[in-house]
Amino acid sequence: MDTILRIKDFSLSFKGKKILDNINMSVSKGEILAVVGESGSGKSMLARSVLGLNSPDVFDIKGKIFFDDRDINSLPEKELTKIRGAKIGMVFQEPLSYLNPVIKMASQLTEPLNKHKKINKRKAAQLMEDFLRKLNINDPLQYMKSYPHQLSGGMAQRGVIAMNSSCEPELIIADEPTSSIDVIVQYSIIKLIKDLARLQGTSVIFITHDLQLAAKIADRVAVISKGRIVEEGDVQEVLKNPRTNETAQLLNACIAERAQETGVKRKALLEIRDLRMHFKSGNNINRALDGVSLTVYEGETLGILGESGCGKSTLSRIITRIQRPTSGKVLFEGTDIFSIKDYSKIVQMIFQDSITSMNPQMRIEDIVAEGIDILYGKSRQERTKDVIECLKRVGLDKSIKDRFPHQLSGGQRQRVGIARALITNPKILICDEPTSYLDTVSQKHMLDLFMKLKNEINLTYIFITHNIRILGNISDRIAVMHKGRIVEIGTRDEIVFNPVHPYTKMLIDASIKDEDYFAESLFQTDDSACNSCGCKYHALCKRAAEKCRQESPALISIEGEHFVACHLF
Amino acid sequence: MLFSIKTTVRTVLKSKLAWAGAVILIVIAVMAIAAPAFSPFDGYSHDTDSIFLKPMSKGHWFGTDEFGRDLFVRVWQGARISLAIGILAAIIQMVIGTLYGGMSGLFGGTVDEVMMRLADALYSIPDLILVVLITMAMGNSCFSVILALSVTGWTSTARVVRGQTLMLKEMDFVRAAKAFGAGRWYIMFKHILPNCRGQILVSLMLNVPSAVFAESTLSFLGLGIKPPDASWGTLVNEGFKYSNITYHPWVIFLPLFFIAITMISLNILGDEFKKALDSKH
Repeated sequence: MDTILRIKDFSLSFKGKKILDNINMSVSKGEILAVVGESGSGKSMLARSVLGLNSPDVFDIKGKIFFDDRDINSLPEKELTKIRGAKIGMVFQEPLSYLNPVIKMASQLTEPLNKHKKINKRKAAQLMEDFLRKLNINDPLQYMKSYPHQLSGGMAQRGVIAMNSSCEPELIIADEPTSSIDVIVQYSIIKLIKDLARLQGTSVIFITHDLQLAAKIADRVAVISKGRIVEEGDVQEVLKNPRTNETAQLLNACIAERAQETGVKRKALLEIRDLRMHFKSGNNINRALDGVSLTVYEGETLGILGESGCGKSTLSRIITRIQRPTSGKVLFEGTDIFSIKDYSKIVQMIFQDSITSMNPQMRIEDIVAEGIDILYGKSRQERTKDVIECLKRVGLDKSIKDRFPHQLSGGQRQRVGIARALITNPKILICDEPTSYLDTVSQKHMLDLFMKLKNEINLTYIFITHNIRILGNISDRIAVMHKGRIVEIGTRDEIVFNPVHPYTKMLIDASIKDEDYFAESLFQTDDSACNSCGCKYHALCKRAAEKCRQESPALISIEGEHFVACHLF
Repeated sequence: MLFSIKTTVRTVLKSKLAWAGAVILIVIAVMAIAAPAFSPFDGYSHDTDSIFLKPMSKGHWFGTDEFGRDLFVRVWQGARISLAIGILAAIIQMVIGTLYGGMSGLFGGTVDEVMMRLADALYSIPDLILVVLITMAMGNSCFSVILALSVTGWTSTARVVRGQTLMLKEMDFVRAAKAFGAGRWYIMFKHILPNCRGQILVSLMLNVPSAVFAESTLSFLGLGIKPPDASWGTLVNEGFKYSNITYHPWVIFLPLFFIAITMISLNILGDEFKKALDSKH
């Protein structure tokens, strides 16, 4: 097979610090190579080097990168612009930040065709529309007329992939294109890249921190750690027999089976009864929560699984009393939470984005001590003592307390968030997607910390995330939410290995199984709201019966503690 | 979003323009404080033998006015009053504007709408009319002028702070504080206002020149500081009334020049701070 890209003894340094160290890699025509590594390993810098985006004035470059037998680093800028976009395409992570927000999609998508192939704008737009239709975008005309912020992340990425493929490049580099996107859309995008690659014979370099994701799309994988390639080979081989520690670590962060603890008679701590939250905007009512009922038992880890928009954040806000529900009750040990005086000491929350969840003007000590400042009045020394103790509990050194949030790494900030929540010795901890901004290895460390705390202080967790792998690792029970309702709830093994509701099945399949389940899925992913009185999903579900259209299903028990809301059972 | 005084000042000091503005202001401030004390003339006593002397004659560096009073001393005494009024008025505007905007943004909903419409209404009334009414009611003292200026100029600060508040309200660290049971005032003073420090400072820096100008206009029209006390505006007023622009131009143009150069310097400095803040976002 032809080699279209060959990286030979390539090293990149910045001010003496080595970012990439002696990289040797090659990509053949038509193959999909995954580059997997944790954050900071150098994978993005590698991608930029292939495109010649790292200027030799700023970086020390050694070695060669041969594309089509020409050394990228020796080419003048003029030649490079002819290659970028036309021969090598690149897809970045966050579509809303690299698409120009004030230019319509039509102009942006047709730019490569226009500049490289000199096709006039109208013809290019026509070509792109046809292309978009092939990529399952229902209304290409509307899409082209939209601005980037009017599209969802998944839709925008599809457009960008189409744009990249329009000039039929030989190589596409995708740098974590799906990291900030939900699991189902993620799957459809990977499938898209894979299909395009097969269709046009394009090679793909797929950069990610997720080894399991790499396994779904790639033929070969190269594992990169601290700027070096530590392992390389056929993707299934590497998954089954990792040869290095780093690979094993990446693999470890994926799901594993765990022995289920036997059910002990437990006390119900939190009881949520028919919670509803409606937001009115003009004539539309947004039913963020539409009748959620749930019980949380002492000492358990309840996972709440759902994609963005399902209502899980609203739920967490109501439970922590940040927001009041439109109707319904939440009881803690029998009493309505809005009438308990020191409720804030009992239930605390950890947020998703560690940057925005901390006041950038405050020092870590003050951030962690906020709970004490508001709820108790302690002396200076006692306060500092409590803060140091909390920091120690989450594995942070006490010297951190004098720093500011921007001086810490993502993992450290999240730990500070946990310390802040723990300072009042709460009984229940709500974790709202605490790991979604971390790479897989940091995620594993975070989960280990949660388990340790659970064992030490007997904390009860409500863990909200869209990542099934994480729930599989730590939860005892899982509740699946979709569009404001709980569609299925059961023990962790039941949900992960024996899902019953069509929506749950689709979620599990999309992230765990290797087979091509997406084509046969029972649901179509559609963003349209479905607010009629029957089962909310009757328009989307392929197995919907007449009864589904008329009657909304309640949660019924299948077996023991496994409940599902569906008429088919 | 992080506002650190050190880095902002460092960025500002990189600009030559900012240096120029800062130096001019420092010189004016120093002269305003020190100059009248070191001059042999006192700026009040009339000297009929020395009326309308040209600048740099007989020891009068800026010349004399219609009553023979030394203009050098009068200009720097005027500087004291103009600058003091300008700075005080700007500070009061900042306090009122910040509290008003912060409360409006924090309460949100109908309260916010009503408060903002009231501010808009106040903004749409011509400042001069309000100021004239207030000074007519309360007399021509420094105090009434400062009060009048403060009452009309706070709306721009309020708008800026309200905008920031609306954005900061949705941040997770405010939610975290609410999860601890924090009340509105705690959130405003501990979380929101500290994160508006940059905008508030810029607003303050740009309010000073407008206050100086407003006061000068007032005094020029005879509605502000009355002689023999004089602010720069009053000096221009007197120059206008008593001197002939062809024969004794310096009496009018000297105070005018200082008003202009103070305002330009303040505006330049304020702009540089604004640019320094914006460039970090």
